[in-house]
Amino acid sequence: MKICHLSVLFVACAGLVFAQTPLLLRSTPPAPEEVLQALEALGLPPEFTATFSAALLSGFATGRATTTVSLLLLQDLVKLPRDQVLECLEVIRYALSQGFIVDTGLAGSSMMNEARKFLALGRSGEEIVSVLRARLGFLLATRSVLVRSGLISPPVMDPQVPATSADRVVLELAWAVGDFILWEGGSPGDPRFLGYVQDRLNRLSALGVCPMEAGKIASALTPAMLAEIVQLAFQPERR
Amino acid sequence: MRWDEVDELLRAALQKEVAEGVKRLEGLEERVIQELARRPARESLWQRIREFLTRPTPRWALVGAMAALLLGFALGRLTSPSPIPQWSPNLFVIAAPGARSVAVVGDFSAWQPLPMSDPDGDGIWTASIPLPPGRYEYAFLVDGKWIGQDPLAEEYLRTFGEYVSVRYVGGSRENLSS
Repeated sequence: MKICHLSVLFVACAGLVFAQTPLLLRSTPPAPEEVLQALEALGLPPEFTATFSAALLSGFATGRATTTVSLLLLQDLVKLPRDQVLECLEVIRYALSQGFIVDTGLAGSSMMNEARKFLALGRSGEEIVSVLRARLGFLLATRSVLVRSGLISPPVMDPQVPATSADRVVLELAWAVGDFILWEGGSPGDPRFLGYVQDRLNRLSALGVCPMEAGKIASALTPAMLAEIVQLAFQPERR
Repeated sequence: MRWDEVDELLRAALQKEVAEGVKRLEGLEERVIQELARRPARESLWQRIREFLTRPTPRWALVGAMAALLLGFALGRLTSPSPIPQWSPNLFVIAAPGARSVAVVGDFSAWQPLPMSDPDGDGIWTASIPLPPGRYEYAFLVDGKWIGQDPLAEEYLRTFGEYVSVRYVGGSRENLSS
Protein backbone atom coordinates (compact mmCIF):
# COMPACT_ATOMS: atom_id res chain seq x y z
CA MET A 1 0.00 0.00 0.00
CA LYS A 2 1.29 3.43 -0.85
CA ILE A 3 2.36 5.92 1.79
CA CYS A 4 -0.53 8.15 0.77
CA HIS A 5 -3.04 5.54 1.82
CA LEU A 6 -1.27 4.82 5.04
CA SER A 7 -1.71 8.49 5.82
CA VAL A 8 -5.45 8.21 5.10
CA LEU A 9 -5.64 5.27 7.48
CA PHE A 10 -3.68 7.23 10.04
CA VAL A 11 -6.05 10.18 9.76
CA ALA A 12 -9.02 7.85 10.29
CA CYS A 13 -7.40 6.37 13.39
CA ALA A 14 -6.59 9.85 14.62
CA GLY A 15 -10.24 10.81 14.27
CA LEU A 16 -11.28 7.70 16.19
CA VAL A 17 -8.83 8.34 18.99
CA PHE A 18 -9.64 12.03 19.15
CA ALA A 19 -13.35 11.31 19.52
CA GLN A 20 -12.74 8.69 22.20
CA THR A 21 -10.59 10.88 24.38
CA PRO A 22 -11.91 14.39 24.26
CA LEU A 23 -10.79 15.22 27.78
CA LEU A 24 -7.34 13.78 27.39
CA LEU A 25 -6.44 16.65 25.11
CA ARG A 26 -7.33 19.22 27.72
CA SER A 27 -4.89 17.85 30.28
CA THR A 28 -2.97 14.65 30.25
CA PRO A 29 -3.49 12.80 33.53
CA PRO A 30 -0.37 11.47 35.21
CA ALA A 31 0.56 7.83 34.72
CA PRO A 32 -0.21 5.42 37.60
CA GLU A 33 3.53 4.82 37.98
CA GLU A 34 3.99 8.50 38.79
CA VAL A 35 1.35 8.23 41.52
CA LEU A 36 3.03 5.13 42.95
CA GLN A 37 6.35 6.98 43.00
CA ALA A 38 4.72 9.77 45.01
CA LEU A 39 3.37 7.14 47.39
CA GLU A 40 6.83 5.60 47.76
CA ALA A 41 8.24 9.05 48.48
CA LEU A 42 6.05 9.28 51.59
CA GLY A 43 8.25 6.66 53.21
CA LEU A 44 5.41 4.67 54.76
CA PRO A 45 5.87 1.05 55.93
CA PRO A 46 6.47 -1.17 52.89
CA GLU A 47 3.54 -3.50 53.74
CA PHE A 48 1.13 -0.58 53.86
CA THR A 49 2.59 0.95 50.69
CA ALA A 50 2.08 -2.35 48.88
CA THR A 51 -1.51 -2.73 50.12
CA PHE A 52 -2.38 0.87 49.32
CA SER A 53 -0.77 0.64 45.87
CA ALA A 54 -2.89 -2.39 45.02
CA ALA A 55 -6.07 -0.68 46.22
CA LEU A 56 -5.23 2.49 44.31
CA LEU A 57 -4.44 0.68 41.07
CA SER A 58 -7.76 -1.16 41.31
CA GLY A 59 -9.41 2.18 41.96
CA PHE A 60 -7.86 3.65 38.80
CA ALA A 61 -8.91 0.64 36.76
CA THR A 62 -12.50 0.62 38.00
CA GLY A 63 -13.25 4.35 38.00
CA ARG A 64 -13.17 4.79 41.77
CA ALA A 65 -10.07 6.99 41.82
CA THR A 66 -8.14 9.14 39.37
CA THR A 67 -4.43 9.59 38.97
CA THR A 68 -4.75 13.38 38.81
CA VAL A 69 -6.23 13.94 42.26
CA SER A 70 -4.40 10.99 43.83
CA LEU A 71 -1.03 12.38 42.76
CA LEU A 72 -1.80 15.87 44.07
CA LEU A 73 -3.05 14.48 47.37
CA LEU A 74 -0.05 12.23 47.90
CA GLN A 75 2.33 15.08 47.06
CA ASP A 76 0.45 17.32 49.50
CA LEU A 77 0.37 14.80 52.35
CA VAL A 78 4.06 15.36 53.05
CA LYS A 79 2.88 18.43 55.00
CA LEU A 80 1.35 16.12 57.63
CA PRO A 81 3.04 13.99 60.29
CA ARG A 82 3.70 10.45 59.12
CA ASP A 83 1.20 8.73 61.45
CA GLN A 84 -1.58 11.04 60.27
CA VAL A 85 -0.68 10.40 56.66
CA LEU A 86 -1.01 6.72 57.43
CA GLU A 87 -4.42 7.23 59.04
CA CYS A 88 -5.69 9.31 56.10
CA LEU A 89 -4.57 6.76 53.58
CA GLU A 90 -5.92 3.86 55.62
CA VAL A 91 -9.41 5.42 55.56
CA ILE A 92 -9.14 5.85 51.79
CA ARG A 93 -7.82 2.31 51.34
CA TYR A 94 -10.68 0.88 53.40
CA ALA A 95 -13.23 2.89 51.41
CA LEU A 96 -11.75 1.54 48.16
CA SER A 97 -11.80 -2.01 49.51
CA GLN A 98 -15.50 -1.57 50.26
CA GLY A 99 -16.15 -0.52 46.66
CA PHE A 100 -16.75 3.19 47.29
CA ILE A 101 -15.74 5.93 44.88
CA VAL A 102 -13.08 7.99 46.66
CA ASP A 103 -12.30 10.43 43.90
CA THR A 104 -14.39 11.77 41.04
CA GLY A 105 -11.53 13.62 39.43
CA LEU A 106 -11.86 17.36 39.03
CA ALA A 107 -15.66 17.29 38.99
CA GLY A 108 -17.45 17.27 42.31
CA SER A 109 -16.68 16.32 45.86
CA SER A 110 -15.17 13.12 47.12
CA MET A 111 -12.88 11.89 49.86
CA MET A 112 -9.61 12.71 48.12
CA ASN A 113 -10.77 16.09 46.89
CA GLU A 114 -12.04 16.97 50.34
CA ALA A 115 -8.70 16.06 51.88
CA ARG A 116 -7.06 18.34 49.32
CA LYS A 117 -9.46 21.13 50.23
CA PHE A 118 -8.62 20.93 53.93
CA LEU A 119 -4.91 20.77 53.20
CA ALA A 120 -5.35 23.94 51.11
CA LEU A 121 -7.17 25.49 54.07
CA GLY A 122 -4.26 24.57 56.29
CA ARG A 123 -6.27 22.28 58.57
CA SER A 124 -4.45 19.84 60.83
CA GLY A 125 -3.96 16.19 60.05
CA GLU A 126 -6.23 15.23 62.98
CA GLU A 127 -9.07 17.30 61.57
CA ILE A 128 -8.61 15.84 58.11
CA VAL A 129 -8.59 12.29 59.47
CA SER A 130 -11.74 12.94 61.50
CA VAL A 131 -13.55 14.34 58.45
CA LEU A 132 -12.48 11.40 56.29
CA ARG A 133 -13.70 8.96 58.95
CA ALA A 134 -17.03 10.77 59.16
CA ARG A 135 -17.34 10.66 55.35
CA LEU A 136 -16.59 6.94 55.36
CA GLY A 137 -19.28 6.48 57.99
CA PHE A 138 -21.81 8.32 55.82
CA LEU A 139 -20.85 6.22 52.79
CA LEU A 140 -21.27 2.94 54.67
CA ALA A 141 -24.51 4.03 56.32
CA THR A 142 -26.01 5.40 53.10
CA ARG A 143 -25.35 2.21 51.19
CA SER A 144 -26.64 0.11 54.04
CA VAL A 145 -29.94 2.02 54.23
CA LEU A 146 -30.44 2.10 50.46
CA VAL A 147 -29.83 -1.63 50.16
CA ARG A 148 -32.14 -2.42 53.07
CA SER A 149 -34.83 -0.23 51.53
CA GLY A 150 -34.49 -2.10 48.24
CA LEU A 151 -33.54 1.09 46.38
CA ILE A 152 -30.22 -0.34 45.20
CA SER A 153 -28.85 -3.86 44.87
CA PRO A 154 -26.33 -5.18 47.39
CA PRO A 155 -22.80 -4.27 46.23
CA VAL A 156 -20.49 -6.79 44.60
CA MET A 157 -17.51 -6.73 46.93
CA ASP A 158 -14.92 -7.27 44.24
CA PRO A 159 -12.29 -4.56 43.80
CA GLN A 160 -11.98 -5.46 40.11
CA VAL A 161 -15.64 -4.70 39.30
CA PRO A 162 -16.05 -1.28 37.67
CA ALA A 163 -17.90 1.42 39.58
CA THR A 164 -21.63 1.40 38.91
CA SER A 165 -24.26 4.11 38.72
CA ALA A 166 -25.46 2.93 42.16
CA ASP A 167 -21.96 3.66 43.54
CA ARG A 168 -22.25 7.21 42.23
CA VAL A 169 -25.71 7.65 43.78
CA VAL A 170 -24.39 6.39 47.12
CA LEU A 171 -21.50 8.87 46.92
CA GLU A 172 -23.65 11.88 46.10
CA LEU A 173 -26.32 11.02 48.67
CA ALA A 174 -23.74 10.36 51.38
CA TRP A 175 -22.02 13.64 50.52
CA ALA A 176 -25.25 15.63 50.67
CA VAL A 177 -26.15 14.07 54.02
CA GLY A 178 -22.63 14.70 55.30
CA ASP A 179 -22.60 18.32 54.15
CA PHE A 180 -25.91 18.97 55.87
CA ILE A 181 -24.86 17.40 59.16
CA LEU A 182 -21.19 18.37 59.23
CA TRP A 183 -21.20 21.84 57.66
CA GLU A 184 -24.75 23.17 57.54
CA GLY A 185 -25.20 22.64 61.24
CA GLY A 186 -28.24 20.47 60.60
CA SER A 187 -29.61 17.69 62.75
CA PRO A 188 -31.32 14.45 61.75
CA GLY A 189 -34.71 15.84 62.76
CA ASP A 190 -34.28 19.13 60.89
CA PRO A 191 -37.33 19.76 58.66
CA ARG A 192 -35.01 21.16 55.92
CA PHE A 193 -32.99 17.95 55.77
CA LEU A 194 -35.07 15.97 53.26
CA GLY A 195 -35.54 18.95 50.92
CA TYR A 196 -31.82 19.74 51.01
CA VAL A 197 -30.82 16.20 50.05
CA GLN A 198 -33.57 15.75 47.45
CA ASP A 199 -32.79 19.08 45.81
CA ARG A 200 -29.10 18.21 45.53
CA LEU A 201 -29.72 14.78 44.02
CA ASN A 202 -32.33 16.11 41.61
CA ARG A 203 -30.01 18.86 40.42
CA LEU A 204 -27.08 16.50 39.88
CA SER A 205 -29.36 14.06 38.11
CA ALA A 206 -30.73 16.81 35.84
CA LEU A 207 -27.18 17.88 35.00
CA GLY A 208 -26.28 14.34 34.02
CA VAL A 209 -23.65 14.13 36.78
CA CYS A 210 -25.68 11.60 38.72
CA PRO A 211 -27.48 8.77 36.95
CA MET A 212 -31.19 9.23 36.28
CA GLU A 213 -32.14 6.75 39.00
CA ALA A 214 -30.81 9.30 41.51
CA GLY A 215 -34.00 11.30 40.93
CA LYS A 216 -36.14 8.25 41.69
CA ILE A 217 -34.12 7.47 44.78
CA ALA A 218 -34.42 11.11 45.88
CA SER A 219 -38.21 10.96 45.66
CA ALA A 220 -38.27 7.65 47.57
CA LEU A 221 -36.27 9.08 50.49
CA THR A 222 -38.05 9.76 53.75
CA PRO A 223 -37.01 11.75 56.82
CA ALA A 224 -36.81 8.45 58.71
CA MET A 225 -34.34 7.02 56.19
CA LEU A 226 -32.12 10.10 56.43
CA ALA A 227 -32.25 10.00 60.22
CA GLU A 228 -31.25 6.34 60.07
CA ILE A 229 -28.29 7.15 57.81
CA VAL A 230 -27.03 9.72 60.30
CA GLN A 231 -27.54 7.36 63.21
CA LEU A 232 -25.69 4.53 61.50
CA ALA A 233 -22.89 6.82 60.35
CA PHE A 234 -21.98 7.57 63.93
CA GLN A 235 -22.76 4.11 65.30
CA PRO A 236 -20.67 1.72 63.22
CA GLU A 237 -21.66 -1.25 65.35
CA ARG A 238 -25.27 -0.95 64.13
CA ARG A 239 -24.53 -0.87 60.36
CA MET B 1 -32.08 14.13 -70.12
CA ARG B 2 -33.18 10.77 -71.16
CA TRP B 3 -33.69 7.84 -68.86
CA ASP B 4 -30.90 5.77 -70.44
CA GLU B 5 -28.48 8.70 -69.92
CA VAL B 6 -29.51 8.95 -66.27
CA ASP B 7 -29.00 5.23 -65.90
CA GLU B 8 -25.49 5.51 -67.32
CA LEU B 9 -24.55 8.36 -65.04
CA LEU B 10 -25.77 6.46 -61.98
CA ARG B 11 -23.83 3.33 -62.99
CA ALA B 12 -20.64 5.40 -63.47
CA ALA B 13 -21.10 7.06 -60.06
CA LEU B 14 -21.63 3.73 -58.37
CA GLN B 15 -18.56 2.22 -60.03
CA LYS B 16 -16.50 5.22 -58.83
CA GLU B 17 -17.85 4.78 -55.26
CA VAL B 18 -17.06 1.06 -55.31
CA ALA B 19 -13.55 1.70 -56.69
CA GLU B 20 -12.83 4.22 -53.94
CA GLY B 21 -14.42 1.98 -51.30
CA VAL B 22 -12.25 -0.93 -52.24
CA LYS B 23 -9.19 1.22 -51.65
CA ARG B 24 -10.48 2.07 -48.20
CA LEU B 25 -11.25 -1.57 -47.45
CA GLU B 26 -7.74 -2.64 -48.29
CA GLY B 27 -5.92 -3.53 -45.03
CA LEU B 28 -9.05 -2.81 -42.99
CA GLU B 29 -8.70 -6.02 -40.96
CA GLU B 30 -5.10 -5.18 -40.06
CA ARG B 31 -6.01 -1.67 -39.17
CA VAL B 32 -8.81 -2.88 -36.90
CA ILE B 33 -6.47 -5.36 -35.20
CA GLN B 34 -3.84 -2.67 -34.71
CA GLU B 35 -6.41 -0.31 -33.29
CA LEU B 36 -7.68 -2.96 -30.86
CA ALA B 37 -4.13 -3.74 -29.83
CA ARG B 38 -3.44 -0.07 -29.17
CA ARG B 39 -6.50 0.41 -26.97
CA PRO B 40 -6.17 -0.89 -23.40
CA ALA B 41 -8.46 -3.71 -22.43
CA ARG B 42 -11.56 -2.64 -20.45
CA GLU B 43 -10.79 -3.07 -16.74
CA SER B 44 -13.06 -4.86 -14.34
CA LEU B 45 -14.56 -3.00 -11.38
CA TRP B 46 -12.12 -4.67 -8.99
CA GLN B 47 -9.20 -3.66 -11.19
CA ARG B 48 -10.43 -0.10 -11.26
CA ILE B 49 -10.79 -0.04 -7.45
CA ARG B 50 -7.33 -1.47 -7.09
CA GLU B 51 -6.01 1.08 -9.52
CA PHE B 52 -7.62 3.86 -7.47
CA LEU B 53 -6.20 2.55 -4.24
CA THR B 54 -2.68 1.99 -5.47
CA ARG B 55 -2.32 5.01 -7.73
CA PRO B 56 -4.07 7.85 -5.98
CA THR B 57 -4.15 11.37 -7.16
CA PRO B 58 -3.45 14.00 -4.49
CA ARG B 59 -6.96 15.38 -4.86
CA TRP B 60 -8.63 12.04 -4.14
CA ALA B 61 -6.19 11.33 -1.35
CA LEU B 62 -7.25 14.60 0.31
CA VAL B 63 -10.94 13.81 -0.15
CA GLY B 64 -10.32 10.33 1.24
CA ALA B 65 -8.47 11.70 4.23
CA MET B 66 -11.28 14.11 5.05
CA ALA B 67 -13.88 11.36 4.68
CA ALA B 68 -11.79 9.03 6.84
CA LEU B 69 -11.41 11.70 9.49
CA LEU B 70 -15.15 12.30 9.58
CA LEU B 71 -15.89 8.58 9.62
CA GLY B 72 -13.35 7.98 12.36
CA PHE B 73 -14.74 10.83 14.42
CA ALA B 74 -18.33 9.64 13.93
CA LEU B 75 -17.40 6.08 14.87
CA GLY B 76 -15.50 7.34 17.87
CA ARG B 77 -18.46 9.37 19.04
CA LEU B 78 -20.76 6.39 18.60
CA THR B 79 -18.50 3.97 20.40
CA SER B 80 -17.41 6.36 23.13
CA PRO B 81 -18.00 4.65 26.50
CA SER B 82 -19.72 7.63 28.06
CA PRO B 83 -21.39 10.74 26.75
CA ILE B 84 -18.93 13.55 26.25
CA PRO B 85 -19.69 16.23 28.79
CA GLN B 86 -20.39 19.66 27.42
CA TRP B 87 -17.63 21.91 28.69
CA SER B 88 -18.66 25.50 29.07
CA PRO B 89 -16.51 28.48 30.02
CA ASN B 90 -17.21 29.70 33.53
CA LEU B 91 -16.31 33.17 34.55
CA PHE B 92 -15.01 33.65 38.05
CA VAL B 93 -14.93 37.29 39.12
CA ILE B 94 -13.81 39.02 42.28
CA ALA B 95 -13.23 42.65 43.14
CA ALA B 96 -9.83 42.96 44.80
CA PRO B 97 -8.46 46.46 44.25
CA GLY B 98 -4.81 46.78 45.12
CA ALA B 99 -4.24 43.02 45.29
CA ARG B 100 -0.94 41.73 43.99
CA SER B 101 -2.06 38.20 43.23
CA VAL B 102 -5.49 36.63 43.00
CA ALA B 103 -6.30 33.00 42.30
CA VAL B 104 -9.32 30.74 42.31
CA VAL B 105 -9.20 27.28 43.90
CA GLY B 106 -11.84 24.59 43.79
CA ASP B 107 -12.85 21.02 43.10
CA PHE B 108 -12.10 21.70 39.44
CA SER B 109 -8.43 22.32 40.20
CA ALA B 110 -8.13 19.82 43.06
CA TRP B 111 -7.73 22.97 45.16
CA GLN B 112 -4.61 24.10 43.36
CA PRO B 113 -4.52 27.88 42.79
CA LEU B 114 -5.44 28.94 39.26
CA PRO B 115 -4.22 32.52 38.67
CA MET B 116 -6.78 35.21 37.84
CA SER B 117 -5.96 38.33 35.87
CA ASP B 118 -6.73 42.02 35.91
CA PRO B 119 -5.28 43.29 32.63
CA ASP B 120 -6.80 46.80 32.81
CA GLY B 121 -5.86 47.28 36.45
CA ASP B 122 -9.37 48.23 37.57
CA GLY B 123 -9.27 45.84 40.52
CA ILE B 124 -11.70 43.36 38.96
CA TRP B 125 -9.93 40.03 38.66
CA THR B 126 -11.29 37.38 36.36
CA ALA B 127 -10.61 33.83 35.22
CA SER B 128 -12.54 31.88 32.62
CA ILE B 129 -12.41 28.15 33.29
CA PRO B 130 -14.04 25.58 31.05
CA LEU B 131 -15.91 23.02 33.16
CA PRO B 132 -18.18 20.07 32.51
CA PRO B 133 -21.62 20.07 34.18
CA GLY B 134 -21.51 19.53 37.91
CA ARG B 135 -21.53 20.98 41.38
CA TYR B 136 -18.32 22.77 42.28
CA GLU B 137 -17.03 24.14 45.56
CA TYR B 138 -14.53 26.97 45.25
CA ALA B 139 -12.93 29.95 46.91
CA PHE B 140 -10.62 32.82 46.03
CA LEU B 141 -7.12 33.46 47.28
CA VAL B 142 -6.42 37.19 47.45
CA ASP B 143 -2.75 37.73 48.26
CA GLY B 144 -2.86 34.30 49.84
CA LYS B 145 -5.93 35.07 51.98
CA TRP B 146 -8.90 32.70 51.68
CA ILE B 147 -12.06 34.43 50.46
CA GLY B 148 -14.83 31.82 50.49
CA GLN B 149 -17.94 33.89 49.93
CA ASP B 150 -18.41 34.79 46.30
CA PRO B 151 -21.46 37.10 45.96
CA LEU B 152 -22.22 35.29 42.69
CA ALA B 153 -22.31 31.84 44.32
CA GLU B 154 -25.51 29.82 44.56
CA GLU B 155 -24.72 28.36 47.97
CA TYR B 156 -22.10 28.50 50.68
CA LEU B 157 -20.70 25.84 52.95
CA ARG B 158 -18.98 26.66 56.20
CA THR B 159 -16.24 24.18 56.99
CA PHE B 160 -14.04 24.54 60.06
CA GLY B 161 -14.98 28.19 60.24
CA GLU B 162 -14.09 28.94 56.62
CA TYR B 163 -16.59 29.36 53.83
CA VAL B 164 -16.52 27.84 50.42
CA SER B 165 -18.81 28.92 47.61
CA VAL B 166 -20.85 26.48 45.55
CA ARG B 167 -21.68 26.81 41.91
CA TYR B 168 -23.71 24.47 39.71
CA VAL B 169 -22.43 24.38 36.15
CA GLY B 170 -24.69 23.39 33.29
CA GLY B 171 -28.02 24.60 34.59
CA SER B 172 -29.63 26.91 37.05
CA ARG B 173 -32.14 26.20 39.78
CA GLU B 174 -34.76 28.12 37.79
CA ASN B 175 -34.14 26.04 34.67
CA LEU B 176 -34.38 22.81 36.57
CA SER B 177 -37.59 23.67 38.33
CA SER B 178 -39.31 24.97 35.21
